[in-house]
Amino acid sequence: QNMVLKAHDTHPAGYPTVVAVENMGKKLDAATNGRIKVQMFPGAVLGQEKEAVEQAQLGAIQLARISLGVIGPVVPEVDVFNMPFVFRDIAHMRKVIDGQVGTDLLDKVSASQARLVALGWMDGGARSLYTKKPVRTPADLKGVKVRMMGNPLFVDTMNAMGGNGISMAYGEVFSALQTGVIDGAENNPPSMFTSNHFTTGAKYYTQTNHLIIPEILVMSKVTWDKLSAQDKALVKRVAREAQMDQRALWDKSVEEYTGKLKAAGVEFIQIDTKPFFDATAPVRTKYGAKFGELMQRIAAVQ
Amino acid sequence: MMEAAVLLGSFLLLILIGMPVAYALGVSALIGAWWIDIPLDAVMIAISSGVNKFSLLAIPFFVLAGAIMAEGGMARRLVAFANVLVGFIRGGLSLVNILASTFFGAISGSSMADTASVGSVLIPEMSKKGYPRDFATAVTVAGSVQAILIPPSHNAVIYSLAAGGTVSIAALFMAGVLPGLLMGLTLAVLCLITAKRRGFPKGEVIPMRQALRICADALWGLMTMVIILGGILSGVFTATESASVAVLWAFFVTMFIYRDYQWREIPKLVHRTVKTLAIVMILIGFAASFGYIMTLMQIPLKITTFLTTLSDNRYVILGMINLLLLVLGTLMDMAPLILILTPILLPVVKLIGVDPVHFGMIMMVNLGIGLITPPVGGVLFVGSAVGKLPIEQVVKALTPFFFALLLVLVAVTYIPALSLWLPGLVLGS
Amino acid sequence: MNNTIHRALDRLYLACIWLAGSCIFLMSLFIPWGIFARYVLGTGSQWPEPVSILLMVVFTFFGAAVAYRAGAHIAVAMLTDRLPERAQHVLRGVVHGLMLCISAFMVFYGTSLCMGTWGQTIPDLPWMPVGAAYLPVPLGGFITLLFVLEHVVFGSQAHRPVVLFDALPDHTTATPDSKDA
Ligand code: NA
Ligand code: NA
Repeated sequence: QNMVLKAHDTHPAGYPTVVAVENMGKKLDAATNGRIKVQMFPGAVLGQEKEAVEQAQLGAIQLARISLGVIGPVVPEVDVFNMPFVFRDIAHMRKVIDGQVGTDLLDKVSASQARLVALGWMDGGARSLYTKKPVRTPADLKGVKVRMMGNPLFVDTMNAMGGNGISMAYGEVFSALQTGVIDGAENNPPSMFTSNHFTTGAKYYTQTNHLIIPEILVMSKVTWDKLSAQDKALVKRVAREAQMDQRALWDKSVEEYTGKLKAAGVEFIQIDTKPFFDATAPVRTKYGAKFGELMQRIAAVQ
Repeated sequence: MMEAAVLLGSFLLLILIGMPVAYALGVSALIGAWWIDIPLDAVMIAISSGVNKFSLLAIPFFVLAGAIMAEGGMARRLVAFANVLVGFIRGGLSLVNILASTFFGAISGSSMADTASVGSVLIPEMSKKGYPRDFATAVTVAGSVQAILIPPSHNAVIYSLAAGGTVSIAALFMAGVLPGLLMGLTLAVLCLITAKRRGFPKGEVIPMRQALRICADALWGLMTMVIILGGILSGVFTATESASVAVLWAFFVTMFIYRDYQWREIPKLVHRTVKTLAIVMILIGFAASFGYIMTLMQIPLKITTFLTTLSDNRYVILGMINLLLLVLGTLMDMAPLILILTPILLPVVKLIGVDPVHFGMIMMVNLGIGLITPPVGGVLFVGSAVGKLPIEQVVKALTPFFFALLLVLVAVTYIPALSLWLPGLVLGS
Repeated sequence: MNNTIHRALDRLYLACIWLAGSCIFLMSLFIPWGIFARYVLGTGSQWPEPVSILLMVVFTFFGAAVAYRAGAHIAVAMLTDRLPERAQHVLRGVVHGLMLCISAFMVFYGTSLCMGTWGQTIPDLPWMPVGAAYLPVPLGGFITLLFVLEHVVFGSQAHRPVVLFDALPDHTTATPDSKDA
């Protein structure tokens, strides 16, 4: 029967994840002669990610691009990607999610109580530090208040890196940077630009790449169960293509926004990340103990 | 098209038959969800997550701080303070009334509380000194609109929320300062002219010693605004945090500095605040579910497209929007209108190059005027209750004030710098 | 019998007020504590924010029930006031019916939402099931339902001493635009 898949994304229109899912919709439309379409709701207009997951579970929406943070409470294994410096670099992360580890984790999510079918991975790039004064070593971070995502692990990561981790709602970060409540934050270049954070005086972007956390594209189990076997295979295939499509869009976007940030006066600082890697070892020990085997499998991927 | 008719039509119908606005929003959201085949549990998610937002915390705090200050003897002290400054001029007490509302606006965002507390001190006083009672009531009612513009303003917080959190509360607070002062000034000029024409009395000059004591007394309360704005602008805390500090400060000043509020009155104050606040909060929750269904039906997008086909001239579009807001403002309360209309109108004005902060001010002035117009105007009703006058008589006396406020509206709409200069200066960009 | 019902609902009303009042009270302490932790203890405290938000949700749904019994919710009486008494009577009945419906929906679908999300936890507060955070919806809905039923059977209770407990000595708390529903 005809169906319109309502897709949710907290990122704004034009963002690589949004475009990739829209492209996926066009492919579905063409392959099914208009029987299956995708209607995109970008920019969190239907709620934040936590609500998106719950709506997908109920079948109110069909597709959602979500961070692992909201899946972690149901499928703890995915939290392994939250560990600081768990990947050597972006290329390593891509090899892992494209390979057996990635597939296993997707299957775990689909088989869990989450009532979601994990279709594929999306690239969230690497999160690096941006601050109001240049940072090159952990010592430079002393007394620097950096906003982290609201999870004790991330706050501990920043504290271990030498700064003061402050958890704060993302919507508050812009004015908090502007007024000086915090001295810095951390994210990838496209988000730093689109959230306007570069206009607040935080113009030193230190490429720590401390967190490389892929994101995930899920479908409502309610909807999935309504698809024919043939349609299921089709959706899986275009979702895998979207994973690769998004990656190309992402690289282009990082390049574009890095250029824009540089043009706006942001200084990109290349550093040796080893001291930060070493400093965060206790965090990996504390939070990563339960992922021991998984972390070995990830490290073994060349 | 049919979808939109079901959602908006059922809402209008429910409102007209007298259903409380909050619950009318909820029921029509449920009807809309059923119509487009969305599970009704998802509507519950939208209702709950509508009030599950950090920036919303500022609303309870600002309302509570305002209530403590207003009932704890602050209003009386602000009136005395304003009297020192402008009481001796001809028509002095009417100026005192306007200025007291300016000060009151700096500690509270509620025009209703302003009218109730400034009015209950000044309306009897003004009629004793020979001002017509209807004029005294009209001045009180019109002057109280300043409270919405002058920071802190919980309506600005609601706007920021309705705009999807993309507009900074700090910027909105700074943006309200000049329009608020302009409003006070315009009303004061009108009072001066009226006083001269109708021969209203002058007050007495307050002796220096007494004046100084009154000022010192009032400054404790006015420090609230310094703490809020200073705290936000210097980066000591965020807008939401500043609101919580304002509560502690208001409590401290009332109970330990002024000490004329009794501890046993506090449960009553909490009881009142619970009711006032719950009305606003549940409205926000149900409005969120209504907005959720509106978004799923892509109604804002359709209205944006429609409005921009009518004209692409920003002055024309802004004029149309002003008219729409004024008409709806006469019929409905401020908070629900901000919540329902912002997601619809903001994309339109963004498209024609209007800054969201500027548009927030346009909305505040429009809906602020709506608070004092018949047939539905909360502040007007409170004013007529405090002034013990029939509503019709207050409305008649208000007529010149409506024109003054419309003048302010035109200025705020067509001079963006009024709203944008100050935030640009203090916050940059 | 009737008196017993009213007295029980009076107690419920007061309990809701105290619950909602305590929520505001605690919020007013928790957020400043967060500031204190950031400056004095040097590191941000992570819990004040999400906990205060939860308290705000509790406040909202229990407070809304209180506001219903007190007849404080904003409604538009423009049209209904101009109708003949008979028509007004009919419309009041319709509004009551719809109030019963929405409260019942809050109870039913709110409960189903709580059960559906009980197995998940809130990322910010790992010890807290998502379903528990949604509990105020069905509970507040249930209390509202009781107050609506009371209103339908016995008429408005907005003039009971327990509801008027907070009235100021003068008229200044009047909110004449809020119509009894
Ligand atoms: Na104000
Ligand atoms: Na009005």
